[in-house]
Amino acid sequence: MSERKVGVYICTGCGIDLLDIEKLVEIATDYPVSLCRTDSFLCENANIVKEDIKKENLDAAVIAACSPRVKTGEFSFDVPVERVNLREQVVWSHPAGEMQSLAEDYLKMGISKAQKLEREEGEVNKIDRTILIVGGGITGITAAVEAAEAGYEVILVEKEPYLGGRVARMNKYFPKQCPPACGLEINYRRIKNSDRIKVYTSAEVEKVSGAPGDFDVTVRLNPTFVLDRCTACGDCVDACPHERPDGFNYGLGKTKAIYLPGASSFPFRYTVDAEYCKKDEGCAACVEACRYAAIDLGMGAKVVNMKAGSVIVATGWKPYDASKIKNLGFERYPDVITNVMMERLASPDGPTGGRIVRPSDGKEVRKIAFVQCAGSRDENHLPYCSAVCCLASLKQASYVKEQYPDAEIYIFYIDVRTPAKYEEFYRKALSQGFNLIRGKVAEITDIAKSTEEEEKLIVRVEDTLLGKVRRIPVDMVVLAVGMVPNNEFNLDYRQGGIPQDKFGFFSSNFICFPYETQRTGIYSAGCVRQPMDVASSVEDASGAVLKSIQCLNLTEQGMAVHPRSGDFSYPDFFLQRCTQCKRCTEECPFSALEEDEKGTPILNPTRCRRCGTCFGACPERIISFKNYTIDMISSMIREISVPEEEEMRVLAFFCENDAYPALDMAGLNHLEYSSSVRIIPVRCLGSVNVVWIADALSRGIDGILLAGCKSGEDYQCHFIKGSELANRRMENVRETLDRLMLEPERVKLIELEISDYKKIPEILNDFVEELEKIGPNPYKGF
Amino acid sequence: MELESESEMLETYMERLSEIQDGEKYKQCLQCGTCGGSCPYGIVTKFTPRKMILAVRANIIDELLESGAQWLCTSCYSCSFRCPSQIPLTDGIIPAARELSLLEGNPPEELARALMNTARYGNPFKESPKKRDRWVKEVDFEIKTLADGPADVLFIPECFGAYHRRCKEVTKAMAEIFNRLGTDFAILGRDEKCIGDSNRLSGEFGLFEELVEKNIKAMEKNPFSRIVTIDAHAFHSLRSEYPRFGFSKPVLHHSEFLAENLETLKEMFSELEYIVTYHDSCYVGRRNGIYDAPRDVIRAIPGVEFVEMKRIKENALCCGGGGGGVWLDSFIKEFMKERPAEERVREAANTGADILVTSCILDIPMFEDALKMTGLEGQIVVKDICELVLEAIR
Repeated sequence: MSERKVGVYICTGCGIDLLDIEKLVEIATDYPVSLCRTDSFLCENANIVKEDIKKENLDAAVIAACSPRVKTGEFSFDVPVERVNLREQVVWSHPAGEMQSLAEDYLKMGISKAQKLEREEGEVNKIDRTILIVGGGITGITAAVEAAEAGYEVILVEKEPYLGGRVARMNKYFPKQCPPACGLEINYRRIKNSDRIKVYTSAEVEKVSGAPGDFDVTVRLNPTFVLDRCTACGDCVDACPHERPDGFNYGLGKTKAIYLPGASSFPFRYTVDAEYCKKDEGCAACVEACRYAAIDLGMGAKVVNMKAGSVIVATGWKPYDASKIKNLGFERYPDVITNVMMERLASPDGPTGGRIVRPSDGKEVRKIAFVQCAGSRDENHLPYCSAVCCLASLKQASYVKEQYPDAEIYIFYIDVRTPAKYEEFYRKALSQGFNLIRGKVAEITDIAKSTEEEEKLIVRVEDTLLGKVRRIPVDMVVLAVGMVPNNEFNLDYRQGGIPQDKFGFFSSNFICFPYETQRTGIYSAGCVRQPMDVASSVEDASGAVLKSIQCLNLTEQGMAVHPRSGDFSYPDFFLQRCTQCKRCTEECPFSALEEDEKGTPILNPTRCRRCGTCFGACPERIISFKNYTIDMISSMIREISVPEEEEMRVLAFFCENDAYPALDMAGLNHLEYSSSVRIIPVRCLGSVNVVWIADALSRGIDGILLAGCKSGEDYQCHFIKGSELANRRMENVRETLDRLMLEPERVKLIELEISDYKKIPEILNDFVEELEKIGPNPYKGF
Repeated sequence: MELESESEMLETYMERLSEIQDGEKYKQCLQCGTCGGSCPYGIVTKFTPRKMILAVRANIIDELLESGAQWLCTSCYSCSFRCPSQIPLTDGIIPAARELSLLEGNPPEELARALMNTARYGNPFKESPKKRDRWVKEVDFEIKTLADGPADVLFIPECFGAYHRRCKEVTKAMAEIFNRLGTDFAILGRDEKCIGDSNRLSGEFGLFEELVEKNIKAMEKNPFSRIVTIDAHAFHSLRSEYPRFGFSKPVLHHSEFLAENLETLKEMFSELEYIVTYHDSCYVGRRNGIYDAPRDVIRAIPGVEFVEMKRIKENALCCGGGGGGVWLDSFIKEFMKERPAEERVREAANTGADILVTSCILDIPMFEDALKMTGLEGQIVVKDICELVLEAIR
């Protein structure tokens, strides 16, 4: 590489002048640098750097001053900058007698890195600005109109022949008890009025491949056998001789094989259920009845390919299969129904026209039981709370009260969860005189033990407040079943589909990065992300739209999305030396890498989050970023002075997300720690390549410390599994050390939270002490 | 031994709980009451399992012990099976309380006698260990003991099967089926001690371990490939508890063995004109998930009409005999007029069946007694599944 022009700037403010500045200047100018200046207030006078860059044609600048985490604006120039942290990590955290050699090492490390720094340049990507939305429920519809009205093209794919999903099948919303048709109607109008939204109903996304800005989407259009010219006159239904169970009504009642899929059919036309239609046996009664020639029973499925720039997965939920809860009698007793069925029973367009009656005999309901947590909060079924069932049952109880003012209503619960402002809804509901019994229902049978129990369903429950087991006979039981995510999604990536959390939802870290699916450009929203009510789903849709727009814009400019948003750098693979070991493609937390038939990695730059996990994984060290290479860090390691004999020397890799800021915090609080430690910040512990450890140990450095974020189930790693991977790699390193007759204890990995800064002196000093006990590295001096 | 104070009691209790798998999960109890509602004695007890946990939390274990609630448990496993927090109630919360009761020296008399007999004689009946294989003389073929040589199947009749007048019939029936099938089987004979599951569930953890060690030692005398037992509680213990002590052979419930040999049996079956219902015994069904094997066997017998009761499989009602319940008749009568066994035989009779088939040895004395109490005797007959099979192949 040709000689690069580097300028070195040493600030002497904030106590840095406690150092021997002249000596530092002398060291800097020992290197082939273009110039070295000092300034007592460099952040204020950063202009001098800017002028030098112009005048001297500098390629890079070394700013030896405060932490790279502060004064970022002041010290950002047109050339790459290497910040040497003399303030927080030298003068503020070490006694005067010990700080000089530390500062000298850091300065040397900084200069050697700066000599290799190259400018990261974002490539402007040509992208498709269409947003694909999978699922036409309340979340998908909201996302579609919000995105379209923000100026983006939208493809909305819904597998049913109607829009509105589960919401369209509800009688009323809580807390206002308003009909969902009202809110849906507005959204349908917005969809119809927008020329940016393409809606595909009776359609399924078969496959998504590609990358942000350039997704390939395969959509299967299922035949409805009815053409656009259908006027929805209904003559076909009268003619159709075959019936099907009414799926829209959760199996309550039947429709003809040709039917109108509810008031929110989209487009508003009839559809044929191929499973029940006897067209294959020659029946064409509907075709004959249709005056508009709108039925084509020969229609087949069509597969179409589309392009999209980002994806919102809003595939929603399905009710938990109540027949799995054997003790509650669903399917055994027809009058045990689920909460979603209750919505249909109460709906004016439902199977009974809105009359709540017993499905078994159509009789009125005098006594009814609502069984909460039917399968929810239960390790045998769904371990989580579905968030809406308490409110839904209170709402449904008032449906019953409205129709039967004298009805006895029992609600069996473990805890009533009506958080935040819904408390008011709870109070209003209570004032209607429901019997709330605290106890999870143990059994529902029809085994009568008294005349009062005859012909009834008997709910057996321990009333935990009363401390008594009770048998309560009722006419009908409503099981409040929870939500199960519709989590089938065929993402054609090296690592397969969208990662799920332990409950099967599409969410990787719901506090820090909501909507995040661990697959760049693919966001989840609504109940496939976590159980939520309608109001939250609507909010979720807007949030996910924002994220997908962000992704499009950042991708277009060649930048990373969070957490390194704005980063232009991306990994470059020197493939001639690739051995196809597949570690990088296997370990990439975001499945950014594909493979060719031989196993050579193929980078999808727009999927990449720039964490450097691939770079840490590569045994051939062929992966590098313009501003972060194996060689850069190796040359920094080479600059570390290794004292002979007595004094220990420790190299520490600190993750720049949490551990490095913690170190700054320690400095800010003037906590002192061992000056034997040399810190190198890394993008993530996942980016630590074992070659650095080998380099350092063979140079005689006594110990290596890695500090990163928490791993495991409640991981805090910003790149999901950085510390986990580092841990695994260090296990291998320790084995190697063993073979080299080096003590495995010389390499240590710790998890450090940003708030752990008070522990830093203890952690570092203890490690140095441990090493002192082990003794100096025998390779010292070689 | 008297425990000095409540805190000492709590300490002993906690120590026991900590040794039981997932014992610490009681801390996650939601107090939902599923256990109480599921318990056959939930309606009469002062302390449902939920309240037992509350008593532990409030350190009022003495009140719990005084109530006697811990002795009502039949170890039917409904509470544990349904518990949304998967707390080991049957294996932990309840037997640990029973242990305290034993340490305090005041278990119900009938049960105390059975436990003491088991400790002394290896069976709860105060029978001589030498008589354990006497039933062998009542069949007209040779049965070898494991001490004499290896075998494919080790057959465990357990205490009821070895000594109880009625239950011995089941043992003999099973032996005869082995014989007809040409199975190479042996028994432990006089070396067999009580397998001990009731002792464990009664809080006699020490005695249980002693029995386990003796039985394992007896089983080491000669090689065999697997165990078949007619005793559902022994089955469970051998399969799930004994492995903790180093035992590692496959264990089959006899209904599984019959199902396994169903093709051969089918060729031997002759027609039986019965209406049959099947009771899912707790330790076959709910506890070990064996629902289909016995049904498959019953349905395969020509001429048999199979009918189901209302509460089946996971939801079957317990006969009341487990967890020492078979010894606690008069104790339980103080709490409850109609015992679960009586409720259950009524449910069985309501199906119109002439035969109530069971698969746990304790069901037989429990249900036969209940038939007398309910006046259903003569209307419906209790048979073990192997008795029905034997009848079909005779």
